[in-house]
Amino acid sequence: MADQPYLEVKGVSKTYTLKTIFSGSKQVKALQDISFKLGRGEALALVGESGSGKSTCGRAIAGMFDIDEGDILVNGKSITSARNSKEKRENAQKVQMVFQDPFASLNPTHTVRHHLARPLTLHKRVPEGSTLEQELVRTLEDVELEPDVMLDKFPHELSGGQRQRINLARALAVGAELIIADEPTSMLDVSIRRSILNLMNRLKTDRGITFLYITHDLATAHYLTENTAVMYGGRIVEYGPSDAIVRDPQHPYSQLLLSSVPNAHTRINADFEHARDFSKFADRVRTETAASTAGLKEIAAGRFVRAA
Amino acid sequence: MTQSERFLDLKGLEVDYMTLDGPFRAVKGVDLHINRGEVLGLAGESGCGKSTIAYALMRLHRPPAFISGGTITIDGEDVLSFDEEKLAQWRWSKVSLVFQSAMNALNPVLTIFEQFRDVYHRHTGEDTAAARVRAEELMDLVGIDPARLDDYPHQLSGGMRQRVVLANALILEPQMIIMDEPTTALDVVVQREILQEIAGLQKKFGFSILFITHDLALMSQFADRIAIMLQGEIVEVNSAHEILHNPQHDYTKQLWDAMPSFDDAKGVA
Repeated sequence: MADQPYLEVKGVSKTYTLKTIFSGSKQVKALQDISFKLGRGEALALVGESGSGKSTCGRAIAGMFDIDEGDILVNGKSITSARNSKEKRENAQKVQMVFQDPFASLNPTHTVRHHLARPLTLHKRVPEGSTLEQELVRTLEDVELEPDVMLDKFPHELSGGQRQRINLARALAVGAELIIADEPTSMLDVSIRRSILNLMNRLKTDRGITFLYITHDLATAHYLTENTAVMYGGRIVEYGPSDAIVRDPQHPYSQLLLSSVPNAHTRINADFEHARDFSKFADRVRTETAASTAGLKEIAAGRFVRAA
Repeated sequence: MTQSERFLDLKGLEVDYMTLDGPFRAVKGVDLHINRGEVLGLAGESGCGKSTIAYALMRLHRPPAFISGGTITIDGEDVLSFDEEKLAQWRWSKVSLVFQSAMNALNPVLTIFEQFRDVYHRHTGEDTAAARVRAEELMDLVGIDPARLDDYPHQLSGGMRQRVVLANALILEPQMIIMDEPTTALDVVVQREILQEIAGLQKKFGFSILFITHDLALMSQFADRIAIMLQGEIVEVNSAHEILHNPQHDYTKQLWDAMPSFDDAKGVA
């Protein structure tokens, strides 16, 4: 449904105040005027380096903190206006996060059964005529794990890829419609990265799950998502169809990001005198991007670029 | 190829881990060599034994791991015959090590300079003033303002920390540096910056590199030869060009296929 986006982020800003012991307080603008829309069953990638605000943006949408300005609408309803725990629980049910570290995001003292049974019971996700056991089995099958083998295992008995599947299953058990995946594959081995991406892709196409995919890896973003937003310094510098951004990046920072992706076909051939040219260039782009206050301009249908 | 061109020569290296169910062989008879001034990439997934090899080469492995067979010859010397004293003096001056996580490789309660000075003093017996001169030289070399020597590790960015670790690995002008996933914890842009830095330094000083990573694309940008490791065994060794254009082993092909690239058909149906 293009006319009614599932997620709408409108002019969101967030400023953190850092108080240090010796010097005065310092303001960090983590998010500045972030706006985008995301249709049901679509995926959007937030791409940028550490500290670009991409994770902060994801956490804001998950309702993990209050934003300073702007509004976030999920399915047409503002999450910032949730007053009581019932409304907050409803929001939490629709929007779930999957974190980067599959080792830290599961409780080591509990079995897979416990991790999945809790969301199912707390959010009353066992329909009449079904049992908790049946729902557990169904949830595990959704993420392509063998229920008989998995249910009574502890997290340390699972591989990284299996743990990340459990994290996805946990989000599905709550009944999530929007999953915010914060670098879900970056701590996994290359050889199993693709299988997790494929699983997310199937959840998207078969189950209509909407994904906000946070990453610094443009190749996987391109693989999974329809649209990509490139972030730097708390702002979106370029937004548009993932394919167009990868083929023809417009903003200097997007170009820098893209040129840094390891490409097996180009050798790094640096003599010592020129080894740091790339670094100098990168620093210049960063400084210029951070200094620019220009707004986003639409350069083609659905493509926005901030003037350099 | 004559023996003297080989800086590092591994023959039938076997490393076991003692477990409750008896020994587990993590490295199963590996033959591998690195020539002088060569960059050898070692690729494989976690748990395949690639880091175990790196540790064993410098005899940094700790129980329950032990070397149960094979020989390690570095610069014509039998590393397995060294006593503790010789080892302590040999490590860092002949072969040094750069770890994945620069934050963990640096001591958080010592300034950058103190970490340089410790190594320099221990190995050369020089005093603080001489160490300062050497440390400033090295900071210049990796492109960081020498004034940052008096900072603590947490005051530097991830990329700067990795540069400091690199500089520290170079302090005694080793002939080989083992790099265990030196860029994995970094962003793509910073990763590229560090890689350029390593390539530049390697050209300037001509040391050999054993470069361990699971990112084949990154490795083929930089390595001369690549060895592919699977479950404790080397399954394919070839020039970077051949590994890229003409992979022979099924596992090498699988590793290539595992990485989504921009040429992939859209995953979106």
